[in-house]
Amino acid sequence: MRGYFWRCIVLGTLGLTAAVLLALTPLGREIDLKLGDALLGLSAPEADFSEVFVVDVDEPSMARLQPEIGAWPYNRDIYALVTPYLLNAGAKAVAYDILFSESRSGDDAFANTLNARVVLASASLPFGGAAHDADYRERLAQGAWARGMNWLAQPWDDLTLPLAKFDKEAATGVISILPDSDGTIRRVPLLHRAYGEVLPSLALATLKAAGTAVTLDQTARRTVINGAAIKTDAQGLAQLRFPRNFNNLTVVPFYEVALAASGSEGYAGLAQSFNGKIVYLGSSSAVLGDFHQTPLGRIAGLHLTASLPVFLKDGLLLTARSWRLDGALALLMAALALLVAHPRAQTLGTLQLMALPGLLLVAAFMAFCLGAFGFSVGVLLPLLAGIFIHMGAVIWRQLHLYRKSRQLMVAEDADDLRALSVMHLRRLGLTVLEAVNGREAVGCVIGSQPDAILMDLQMPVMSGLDAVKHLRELGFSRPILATTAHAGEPYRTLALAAGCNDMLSKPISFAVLRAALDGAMAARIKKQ
Amino acid sequence: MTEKIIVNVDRDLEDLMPLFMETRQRDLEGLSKGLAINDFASLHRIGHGMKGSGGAFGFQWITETGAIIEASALVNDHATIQKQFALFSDYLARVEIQYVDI
Repeated sequence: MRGYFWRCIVLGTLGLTAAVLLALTPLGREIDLKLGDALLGLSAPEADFSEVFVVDVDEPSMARLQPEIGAWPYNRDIYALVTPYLLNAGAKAVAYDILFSESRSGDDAFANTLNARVVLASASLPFGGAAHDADYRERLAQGAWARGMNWLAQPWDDLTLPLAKFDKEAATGVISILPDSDGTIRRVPLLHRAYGEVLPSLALATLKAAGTAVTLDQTARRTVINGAAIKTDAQGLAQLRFPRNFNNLTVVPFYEVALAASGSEGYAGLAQSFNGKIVYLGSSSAVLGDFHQTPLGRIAGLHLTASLPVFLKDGLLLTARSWRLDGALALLMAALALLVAHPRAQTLGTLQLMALPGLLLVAAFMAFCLGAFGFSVGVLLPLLAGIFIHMGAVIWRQLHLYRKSRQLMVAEDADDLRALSVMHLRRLGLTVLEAVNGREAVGCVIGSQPDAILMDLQMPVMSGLDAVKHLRELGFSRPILATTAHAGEPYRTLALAAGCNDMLSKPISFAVLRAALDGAMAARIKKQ
Repeated sequence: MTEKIIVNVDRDLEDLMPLFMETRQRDLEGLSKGLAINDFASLHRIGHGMKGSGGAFGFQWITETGAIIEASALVNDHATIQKQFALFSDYLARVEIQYVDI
């Protein structure tokens, strides 16, 4: 059992260290993200997006509306028509994923249609170039939900607000996309900070405009929706748990809404579709829209933005990764791999057979963590830990088999000493033949040709010295180590003269025996 | 009450200890017989065996005693062997094995 204990220590330490080092490399981090995405896909839930309605300024809409209202970007008259139409249709909120930061024809008419149920986008990137003046910052403060540096908010140098005439009546929310290092969107900021003011994301502002209870808990530094604190990581980013149907929002082309709002025949029934919905207006056209990679596939920026209120309200979020959970899973995987390396599982077939169920078990456990608790887990570290330790166990086993293929003979008349030598040699993985006197030793050697012999010089029937001489005469050329309780040079000279390669004085410790054997075997290999 | 002699033995050797102690009891009997009939060849062989075995199992005292018996047998020193026999007999009666991780 001591051998197994040390094997666990060595394999576990080496395997875990190698796994941690590899997982920390840039490539390791990328692979980890992709494996996490795969696991996310396996445990993805089904979401209910029925509360959201997307109105898309898509390419058919652009083509259809161009003769009447011109090319994009549209004058604001069309929005002045569409916004009250949607509000009157019973939309809980109307959110524009469109920037209204530059003046256009129809601005006054549009401004007159705005109220607290309309949410306009603020851009998270500087739009105007130079830093804004004090008046602008005052406007920013009016739209802010909090101020100060104690909030976990995404910092920006500047924010581009809608025109002043718009944000007096309408709410505003910040749109920003923060992809991970591999370009995939997994996390979104809830709050944004510029000039010390903390503004909500478009999703939060839209939820609030739609009548959902959204508050900021100053003490816990958390955003609270309907009494439930939103999970965020240490940077204040909410990690999205993409559902299987993440791209299945209800979408209607903008031109249909525009025609319905202007009273065109054929669209009278459309209005009831918006009753009780959060309506997002924006564009997913190839000309204007942006597209993003998510763990489960590609999605238009408009659709992602429109989905976010559902993610937040329905808790489609993951608990942020923690080194504790990742470490615990890595240790679990290491423990499984070490169980496989147990001496009772010591056939190569068993090792290989047990590896696959082990891996599947941990993968299932990780998927369970994701599915049941929404824990975001790192996959690579536990996987590497298991693989490396398992590989180590296989190599160890192969080496053990190689050593066991070596056969030694112990010729010793004292039962206790012979049993002790046999035990030591078996601990080295060697196969051991036994003889109790010189004559038996000679017969055994002729039949089995062992790789080396431990020969007690003083034995009954035929002495070890005579047996060695006889064996050398018979042409046995492999190492023979003499063992004797007689110490001193004369005995060594006698032993070497008889044909022994070395002499060990009894009592013989395990370390001495092992060193002598290693030396004898190395000399033999060199000679070969 | 006679004081125990504690000997620390590698836990890995636990399975071999009954055989070792049995062999030493046989050595004791052999020494007794050899002393009774002044069979110094047998006494020499037994002393030689004790010398080779004791220390390998953690009983250095037995190795040293065996060496004295072996050397004394060579010069037919009955008295010394008799004395070592008595000590050996007492030792075996008092020895207690304590297994340790070495």
